[in-house]
Amino acid sequence: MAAETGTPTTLTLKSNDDELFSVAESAAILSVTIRNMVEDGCAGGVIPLDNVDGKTLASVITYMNGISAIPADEEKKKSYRDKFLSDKDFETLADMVLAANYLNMSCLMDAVSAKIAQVMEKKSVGWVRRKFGIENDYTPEEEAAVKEEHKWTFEGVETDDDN
Amino acid sequence: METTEEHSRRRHKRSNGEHYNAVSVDRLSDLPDSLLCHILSFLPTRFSVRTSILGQRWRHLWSYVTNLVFRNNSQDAINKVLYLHKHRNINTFSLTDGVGCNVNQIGTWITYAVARNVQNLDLYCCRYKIALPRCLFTCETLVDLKLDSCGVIPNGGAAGALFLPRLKKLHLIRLRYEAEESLPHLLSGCPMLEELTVCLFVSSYPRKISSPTIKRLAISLHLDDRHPALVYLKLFAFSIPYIKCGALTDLTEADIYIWDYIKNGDRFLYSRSVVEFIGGLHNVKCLRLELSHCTEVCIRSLFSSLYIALVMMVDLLYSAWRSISFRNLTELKLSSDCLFLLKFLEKADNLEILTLSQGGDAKWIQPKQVPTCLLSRLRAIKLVGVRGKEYEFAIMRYLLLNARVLERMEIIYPREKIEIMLKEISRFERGSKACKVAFISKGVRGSAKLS
Repeated sequence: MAAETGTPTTLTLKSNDDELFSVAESAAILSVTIRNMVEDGCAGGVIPLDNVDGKTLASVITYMNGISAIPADEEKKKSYRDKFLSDKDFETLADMVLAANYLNMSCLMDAVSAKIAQVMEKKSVGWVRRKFGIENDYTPEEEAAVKEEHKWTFEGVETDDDN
Repeated sequence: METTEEHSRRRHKRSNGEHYNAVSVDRLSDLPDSLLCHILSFLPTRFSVRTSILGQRWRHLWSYVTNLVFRNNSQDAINKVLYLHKHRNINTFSLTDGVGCNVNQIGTWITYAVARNVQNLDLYCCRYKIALPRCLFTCETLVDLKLDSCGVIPNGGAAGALFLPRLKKLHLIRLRYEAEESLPHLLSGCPMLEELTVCLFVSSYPRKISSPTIKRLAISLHLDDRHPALVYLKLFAFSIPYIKCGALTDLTEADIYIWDYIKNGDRFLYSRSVVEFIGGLHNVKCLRLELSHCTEVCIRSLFSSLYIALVMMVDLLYSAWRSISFRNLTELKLSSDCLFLLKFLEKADNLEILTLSQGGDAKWIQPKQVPTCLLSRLRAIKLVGVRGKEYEFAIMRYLLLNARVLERMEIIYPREKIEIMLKEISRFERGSKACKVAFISKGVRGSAKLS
């Protein structure tokens, strides 16, 4: 690892649509995937990230830089994450959860999953199916049976389907 | 979620064209079950069970979610979920019971969670008759335990030891204790404890146990240095006859709330016990203190006009602080009378950030010499809830004049006082040329004016 020389090392990350990004190694290794590449000595040139597009990667790098600049204070980190995700729409959140999963970044994964859950909670079945790309493969009889089985979870629910 | 109009709505959307990113959505449905479960684990259980309606793949997905969170759900619903739940381990079991589930039933659920290696257990029931099962207090997997208004903490003694080897966070809110030694026994069985919240509401206890309970509560506040791992302490205390504390040498952060509504008894001795207790926290780096009228009231009522007598009284009251120093303290949030402020300025040489909230009316006594922290460390001061009292102006004037490295003073106050404030404070002489004073009227964020 180049960190031995004491100077901050910069890594170059490449998105699947061929955008290049520079990021400090200290921030980038929040991703276990990248950290493993660095430790295996595969980070000399450009690190290709085949599952992340440029727009999402830019966002993830903003997060990496932001969160790694905060010292060990869980409360401040949490409020940074809340703020970071506050203006993201569902599609962006979906991209981020996939990227966090691929990059193996548990703190981002948890924050985005929680945010997706929070959005889902207030939505109708139809909205969730659309946004998750779920094909309804129940027969009407099956669907009615499932609904009957977990009747208590459908009682008194108001949904809000705005994006 | 409603299923009506589902199909027609979907057709409608499609014919209008996809305005969402179809690529990420398709990939989202390709996520492995474990990741979908991870997302579901952030939902209350009622909502995660409801996702079984989405499609075949989702039918049983919820039953592998390791967090179970019940918010005012019926007993039958909870039993059904636990019956159908398939994962061998439970990460989080959280129960808020506002519907009056059977107390024995709640005990059974706790046993179920412990048997499935629960790590975080959070109970709020507003019922004291719950028999917390013994296994809860010998659970080897528990990391975070929150008990609020439910049950009785058993005594460790003859009935067997209480041992929670992995417990890091313990929240005990409005609980009863089987014996005087229950809390000390429990704490001595938590070798990894890092965070402790104790909230004692004497007034909310049933009248029939008033006197012995107060005694137990007092004893439950004896914190000693047998807990070497303790680094964070949060304590709420209401109407406690006295507070005592041994040295907490590793304590780095503390939130202390003491409300004192004692009408009878020796106010001076009480106040001194509070002062001594806080002195015992002298190694902290970050301290939040909410002390409403703990010392000032007694002094004011005794010596309202005699300045010399007041100073003598203060010396006597703070005699326990003579030989100590809060040398690690860098951040202080204080809501108290002026005496505590004075003493902290004198004793915390490295204080950098100070937040003051309104205490009672009080007389501001200037330090004999300018405290070290004002000369070299204190860089940010926030005054919350400034009401325009004379002593508040005296404090602001003193701090602005003597804080030599101050960068920012924030003054937060009710809107109607805006004009008087601006005029008066802006004119105060400043010991630090770099110092900015920000005026923020309550409730209107970002409307700060700098001068």
